[in-house]
Formats: sequence, structure tokens, C-alpha cells
Amino acid sequence: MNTIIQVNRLTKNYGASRGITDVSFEIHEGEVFGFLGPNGAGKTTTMRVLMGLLRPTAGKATIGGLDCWSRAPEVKRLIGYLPGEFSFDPGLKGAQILTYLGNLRGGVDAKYVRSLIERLGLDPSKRFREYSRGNKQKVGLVQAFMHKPRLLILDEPTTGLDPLNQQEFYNMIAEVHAEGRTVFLSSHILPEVEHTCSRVGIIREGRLIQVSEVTALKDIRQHEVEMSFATPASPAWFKNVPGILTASPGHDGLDIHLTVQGDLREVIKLAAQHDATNLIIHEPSLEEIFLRFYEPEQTPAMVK
Amino acid sequence: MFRTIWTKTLRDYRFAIFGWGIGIGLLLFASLVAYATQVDTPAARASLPQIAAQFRFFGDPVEVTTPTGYTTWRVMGLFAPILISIWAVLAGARLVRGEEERGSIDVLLSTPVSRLHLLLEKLGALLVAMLFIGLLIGLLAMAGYASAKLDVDVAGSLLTGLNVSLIGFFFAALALFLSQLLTSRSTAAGLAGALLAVALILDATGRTVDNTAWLQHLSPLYYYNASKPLIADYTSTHGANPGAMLLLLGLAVLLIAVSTPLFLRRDIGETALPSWQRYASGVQKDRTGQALKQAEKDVFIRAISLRALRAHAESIFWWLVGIGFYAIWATSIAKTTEGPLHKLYASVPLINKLFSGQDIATNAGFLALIVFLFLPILVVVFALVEALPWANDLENGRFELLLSTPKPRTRLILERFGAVLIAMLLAPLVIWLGILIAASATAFSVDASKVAAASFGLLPLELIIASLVYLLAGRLRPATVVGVMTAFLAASYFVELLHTLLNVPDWVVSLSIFHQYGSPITDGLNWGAFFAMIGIALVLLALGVVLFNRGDVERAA
Repeated sequence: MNTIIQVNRLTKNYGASRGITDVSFEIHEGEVFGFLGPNGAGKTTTMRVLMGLLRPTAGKATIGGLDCWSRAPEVKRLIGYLPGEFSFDPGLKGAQILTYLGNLRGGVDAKYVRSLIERLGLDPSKRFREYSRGNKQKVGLVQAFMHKPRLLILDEPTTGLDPLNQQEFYNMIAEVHAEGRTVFLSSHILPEVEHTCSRVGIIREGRLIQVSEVTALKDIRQHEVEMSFATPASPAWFKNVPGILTASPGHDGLDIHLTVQGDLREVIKLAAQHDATNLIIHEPSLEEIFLRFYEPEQTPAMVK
Repeated sequence: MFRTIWTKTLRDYRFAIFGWGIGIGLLLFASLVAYATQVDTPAARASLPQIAAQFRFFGDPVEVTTPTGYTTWRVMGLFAPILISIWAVLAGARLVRGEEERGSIDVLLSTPVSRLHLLLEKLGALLVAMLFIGLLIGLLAMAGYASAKLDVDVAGSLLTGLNVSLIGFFFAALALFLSQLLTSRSTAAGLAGALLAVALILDATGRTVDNTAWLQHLSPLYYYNASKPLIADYTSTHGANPGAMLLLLGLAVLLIAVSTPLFLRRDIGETALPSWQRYASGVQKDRTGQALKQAEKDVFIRAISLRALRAHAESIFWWLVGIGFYAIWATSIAKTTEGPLHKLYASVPLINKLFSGQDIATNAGFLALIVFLFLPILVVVFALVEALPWANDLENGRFELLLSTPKPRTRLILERFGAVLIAMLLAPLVIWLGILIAASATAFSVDASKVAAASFGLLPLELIIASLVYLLAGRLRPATVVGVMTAFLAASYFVELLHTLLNVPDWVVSLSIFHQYGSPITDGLNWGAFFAMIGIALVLLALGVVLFNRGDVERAA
């Protein structure tokens, strides 16, 4: 497989604490790669370095073999980019913005632009300042897709989209993937990445901590389970179940609180054996998972 | 300083307060001090009223044989109010429209601050800034009295400063009002600037041309000039005219009172005028297709430079109207004073000394004095206003999407600069045509080549200002860029005006772009300085390009 993005020991400092440190990864032509991490982890910084908007402090990033900083204009011929946040001439209409950017790219297929607009249900006759956040996002998506780029770099692409449009966006990604083009998207929503990507990189506090197949994500998946019983209950029942990270009694002796990693089959079985009256399962936020899973020198017992 | 909107706004004005306050104050100071050396013989004294009467353009000639009367005529009648109003117009247009253009007003208004509160706090800060400027002017006037060994007139000095503050506040309120009707800050500033030119023209025409005195009453500058607090016995109230001062304040308050409900009721980012377009569109078939088709035909979105030109077209238009109007008018009144002036010049040797050696007996000299007194600063401020959007767009993350296209950064910055360059070329062109047309219409003979030299000689000044903005924007926030540029402009202008009076070292004077411009209308173009300034501008621009190419690009706030 061809490597389209190559990032080698990339560091970007802004001074105090923001930025990324020593990030290395590769993305292959034709894959959909997800970049997962909590807010402020460095996802946007990495993408903006790839776009030649930020100058790396150290290390190197290349796209299609071209250096992202020194050969930025050529690199951008290959890319469609959706920024995490963007503003534009507030007085320009959606249609004007798309035509303008199309002109700057040397012309795009007008029919295809129109089909994208209709697909996402965008009204291009409004001015940029009149658009809602979701509609601004649609303008951003159309301009990223409209020239059928070899590589799409999308920073939190579903932000502000309603569920119907999110679904349409997933379809668009699937089509791009089917055509053998590459997608690099970032998200802080675990299910979204699971849904769309084949491989993921997990970034936290500016460091890439894991790159893996998306199927491996279930390893970091955790559940909070709260159980109520008709009779006094003991956390010791669950001691030997694999994947249990914590087990603590509730306040009235009838409840048990568990943190479980992996699947819940054994837990549900045991709960049934002990006549559980109620079972509540939460999926913790990505942030919480990161805090738990990747905190240095973390031991399960310390986690509450 | 960040505790309230009021103090935050005042903080934004800190450079301007010192730049304009000290600049105008020094003008006043220098004139008081210079009187004794310039008017050094009884004969000179005797001829002064005649000269001043001829040059009523500058101000009413009252007691011109005293240092204070002379200063009132020479400096305070026209110079001081115009200079303060140039800043006032920019600040007034920026007051709320600037925050809207930046998008920061949404965040401000998301706090429990009402719109009324926001507006009043910002206006309060502007008023206080104006009063500070007035105070600095007053203090420097007192210093002038002391240096000229006169009795220090504290009340007169402070009232003079206050009067300047009031005319400034009026024009700020006017620009604020216009900014409610227009969605662009620079268009509002341009239109208010054009109205300032009209006010100047009405007032000075009424003073200079017979039987047109009634025109003066239409100009706010007339009410400013109704007070002459440096001349203590001009009125019974220490030279001031409380009625006229209150009228200026009242007009400002009226404009604010009209602007307030407009601002409270309109949509943020929109004009207060009803929009026909919005309702006229109605239900249309195939909006998408039509919008795309229209966009396809739009020439102005074919390139970055064209888009930049279109985006600032209104602002450029109003500035050029103001500049052209002034050039035409000032040239046309030149004819009416031509004859008497030649006679006067023959009999009065003092006249040369008063106008820093300019040979005003010639038509060219007269143009230098009237037309090219304000045009350089006006044109340079125009260049500043047109160049600043670059700094704002950088700060606001407007380039994120543009730079995702395969356009090199160098291309982006040069196309944007190119658009500013076209605007900057138009200003000298308008001046040149304006003067030639007005001169031929009034049969006032001018040397066409020198008029061209004086007009197009302004281009390097504009270039330096614009390229300096492009350079500074690579590292500094727009507000700081405005502050630095304002201070540089004020210093440059005042150093050139005052260097003969203040004994400023030559090397300092040579740093002033206005000094390098010189007086091409009388002396012809100094080609050396012309090309040197263009060279400097190119170097600054090249540095700006390098900085932009090497730096990180801001994202949307």
C-alpha cells in the first residue's frame, strides 16, 4: 500500500503548553484514518501543520512525498480541507464562496458542486453571516469535497450537523472510501470514529499514544455499571470476573457500582444469579476513558 | 484595565490619546513660542492683519498681532479641529461596527451586559479619551504661554482644549450614526470623512468668499470657531461661547440619541435601514441553480485581488469622493484670492517667513498652502484604512479556507496588496484631475507637470504606510498595528510641520515621510526621495511577505 501521509517526530510548540510533541504516524492511500482525542489534545494542530498553516518546530510531515511546509501549494492540490473553525467574508453568499474557492483551485465541476449542495440541503443564496453553525459547516464540507481530492483532511467534520446530515456525511465518506481516496478525520466522539474509520490514532496532551485498527478500540471501551439487588449485595461477587477495574458497594448495601472494560456478558450473568432488580449501564466519555486508561502509573484500585 | 468595557475601550485608545493630544498640543505650543521670532519688527506687526485677512481660510483673523490671536488664526481655526476629527471619524465608525466586523460583539453581548450599557460604556470611554486629548492640548498651551514669557492663561488653555474635544466628539458621534446605517466600518468612516470635508468647505468658503457667510452656519466647524478661548476678551465668557459649545455637545448627543435606538433594535451585523432585498426575493424556483449561476457570472470572485477590491469598493469610493471634493474646492477658491495676494506679496516681506519659505505669491505656492496642506495626511490615512483589513483578516482566521487551495502564500499577500495599490493609485489620480479641472474651470493657471508631481508624489508615502501595515501585521495584533501606525503618522506629520519652530534635529525630521515628500507643487518632484521611498516601501513589503511566509496562520477565533 502507498503511504500518502507521513509524519515523522513532529513537534509544534506555541510557547507554554499547547502543541504537539514527537508525533509520528503514517496514513496509507485509500484508508479512512480517524484521529481521536479529547479537546485540546493536538488534533487540530497536527492537521494545520499538514496543511502548511503552522510551521513545525521540529520533525517533518509529508503528503504524497512532498514536504507540507516548503511545498505547501503543491501539497494542497491533493487535498480537500475542512477547518475545525473557519470564518469567511461575511458578506459573500454561499454560492459565491464555493465559486470563489473553485476559481482559486482552477475550476471545479459545477454539476458535482450542485449535487453536493442538494445532498446536504444547503441554501447557497444566503450570506455567510446569515448561516447557522451547521450551515457554515455544510459550506465547509462542500468546498472540501467539490474538487474530488485525493486526500480529505476533515477537522471534526460533523460538528453542528443534525443527525440526518451526519448520516449523509457518513455516506459521502463511504463513497470516497469506495473510490479508493483517502480520508483523515478527527473527532472526539468514539462511536463516530468506530463507525467511519478503519484505523485510528489516539492523541492526548500533544502525544500520540496509540495507533491501531479500529477493532482494537473495544479494548479501551469501558462501562460504568450500577446494579440494585433485592437483598444486601457484596462487591466480592464480581472479584474474579475478567475486565473488572473497580467494584464498590453503594450507600445502602443494596447497590453495587462497577467499572468494566471489555464485554459485559459475565457481569450480566452474575447479576442475574444474584437476583438483580435493576441494571444501569453508562458509557463514560472519551475524556474519562483517557483519564483512566492513559494516566501515567495508573492502577485500577485508585480509580473510583 | 479589563474590568469593564469602559476601561478596556479606554485602554485601546491609549496610543491615540497621546499621539493626537501631544501632536496638536505641540502645534499650539510652537505657534505661541514662534510668534516673537517670526513677527519681530513693528513693520511686520503692522502688516500681519492684512495677511491674516487674506488668509481667512485658516481661521477668523482676530487680534492677530498678539501671540494668542495669531495662534488662534494660524493653528486653531482649521488645523486642530480637522486633525482631531480625522481620528474621531475613525474611532466613531469603529466603536460598535468594529466589534461587529470582528464578531467579538456576540461574545460581549452574551454576558449580562445590555446593548444600551455596551454603547454607553464605549461612548463614555470615547468621550473621556477626547477630554484627555483636550487636557493634553490645554497643558501644552500653558507650557507655550510660559515659554513665550506670557502670563499663563489657565482657563483659556483648558477651554481651548475642551473646544477641540467637543468638535472631535461631534464627528465621532456622526461616524457612529453612519455606522448604524452601513454594514462596513470603513465605508462609514469614509462617508463621515467626506462630510468632514464638506464641513470644512462650507466653513472656509463662508469665511473667504463674499456674500456666502450664511454657508458657515451649516458647518459644525463654525460653532467650534465661535469660541476663541485663547483670546480672553473675544467674548464676555473668557473668549468662549458657551452657547456654541453646548450646541456642539447637543448635536453630538442628538446623533447619539438617534443612533441608540437604531443600535438597540437592529440585527447585529446588519444595517438599521430596512432591507428590500430580503423581502423581495420571495419564493423562487431553483434557488440553488440561480445562486450558482449568478456566482458563476460574478467577475469579482475570480481572483483574490478582485475580491479584495470589491469588498472595499464602497469605502474606497467615499474616501475618493472626499479627497477629490477637497482638491476641487480648494483649487477653485484659490482664484478668488489670486489678485489681492500678488499685491500683498509685493508689499509685505513677512509673508514668506510666516509660511516656512513657501513662495505663496505664485499660484503653485498658494496651492501648496491650501490644497497640499491636508491632502498628504488625508491620502496617507486613506492608505492606512485600506491596508488595515489585511491585519484584521489575519487575526480573524479568514485565510484558513483560502490557504487550503493551492495558492501560495506569497500570491495571497501580493494579490491583497495589489488591490490596496490600485486604491492608492486612484487617490493621486483623483487629486490630479480635480486640481486640473477646477483650475481650468476658474481660469487659474497652474503648472500641469508640477500638479502631477505633487499628486503622484504622494504615492510613495501611501506605499510606505501600506507596506508597513503588511509588515507589522505579521507579528502584531490589529489594535496594536493601528496604535503604532497612528503614532507614526502623527509624529511624522507634526515633526514636518513644526521642525523649523522646535529645532528638531535634522535626522529626526528626515524620518518623516511628509518631510521627504517636501513641496513638489512648488519645487517639482524630488526624484531621489521619490525612488528612495519606493525602495523602502518595497523592502518593507518584501519583509512582510517573508514574515507571512514563515509565520503561523491564525484560525478563526
